[in-house]
Amino acid sequence: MTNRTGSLTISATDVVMNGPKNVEAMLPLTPAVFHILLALSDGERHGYAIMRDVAAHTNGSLQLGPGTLYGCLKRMLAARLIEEADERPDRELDNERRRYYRITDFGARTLRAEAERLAVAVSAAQAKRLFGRKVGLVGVKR
Amino acid sequence: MLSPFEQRLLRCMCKIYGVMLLVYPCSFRRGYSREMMLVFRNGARDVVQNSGSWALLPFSLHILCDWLMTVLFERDDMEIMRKALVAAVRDTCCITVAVSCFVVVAYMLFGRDDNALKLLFLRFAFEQMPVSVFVAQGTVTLLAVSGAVSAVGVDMVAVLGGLGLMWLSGSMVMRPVSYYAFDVGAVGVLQSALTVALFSWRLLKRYPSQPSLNAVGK
Repeated sequence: MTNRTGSLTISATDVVMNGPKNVEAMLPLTPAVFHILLALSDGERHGYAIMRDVAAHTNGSLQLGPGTLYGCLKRMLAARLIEEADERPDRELDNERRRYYRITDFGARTLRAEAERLAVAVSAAQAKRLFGRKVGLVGVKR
Repeated sequence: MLSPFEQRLLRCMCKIYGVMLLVYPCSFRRGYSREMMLVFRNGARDVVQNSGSWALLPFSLHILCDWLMTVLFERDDMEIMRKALVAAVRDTCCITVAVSCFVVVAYMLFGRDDNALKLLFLRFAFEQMPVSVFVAQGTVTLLAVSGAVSAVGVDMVAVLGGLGLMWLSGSMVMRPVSYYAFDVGAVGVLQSALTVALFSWRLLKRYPSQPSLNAVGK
């Protein structure tokens, strides 16, 4: 049994083992969840590395605190967007035995769908030439 | 490299943050407090190394805001807790009524020279205490313990601990002496069984709920 979501296939295993996973039901993602998934799309990360990546991706405009980060991670684990990695990538360097997280297939699909959704929104904004000019004033003279 | 003052400052801040972490719900703390402490320590150390001790001030404010928001968010089960508290009071009342009925029936069947109602509301011949006093004491204990358990009702350990306490206090309160061993023992067993059954039912009802992903990090 397959179900097409864009160019992606949800396998029967997904449905049977984990219940029906619907990418669309996850959208829109909050900025925190989106950027955490984005950080994990490059590979496994521990909490602090995720936090630094998110700050770097957003030029410091999104600074996750420990509470926000682990609150998101907890819910993302429950939603199976991410999973804990069993192996530590840098076991010798990492003497604090942190937990590492990695993105799941479902998480990757959700991230892609959200990115596509945002891209459509950005295209619409570009079509209206919103970038580079002041917006938001009602009744402004043009 | 950090100066001794900066190291002391960091240690102090970590201790304060460790205390702040205690406010999170137990289940969240068990899962993530160690990691959160690591993240906090690393973040604070990086801030001091890159920007000096004064930069800890905005960092601390940021952490404080994050803590406030997420404590409230992780405790967003306030409504669940309120419902749990109401349910606990209701359960306790039901248990009390059931136990009282049992006592009445038991004394009707096995009572000595007094009738059941008299024994329930008047004085025991031996203990100089009516059964209703024990029932009332048991009710108060149950209310207090089940209320406390409900307040931290998301935590399985607290629930199990509360059940143990409840059983212990219940059987102690309801067991003045072994004068009417059958009745008192049976009351304790009945009370425990009812409590366990009701709490198990509530746990099964409450735990399968999944958190909403899209309520995160808004």
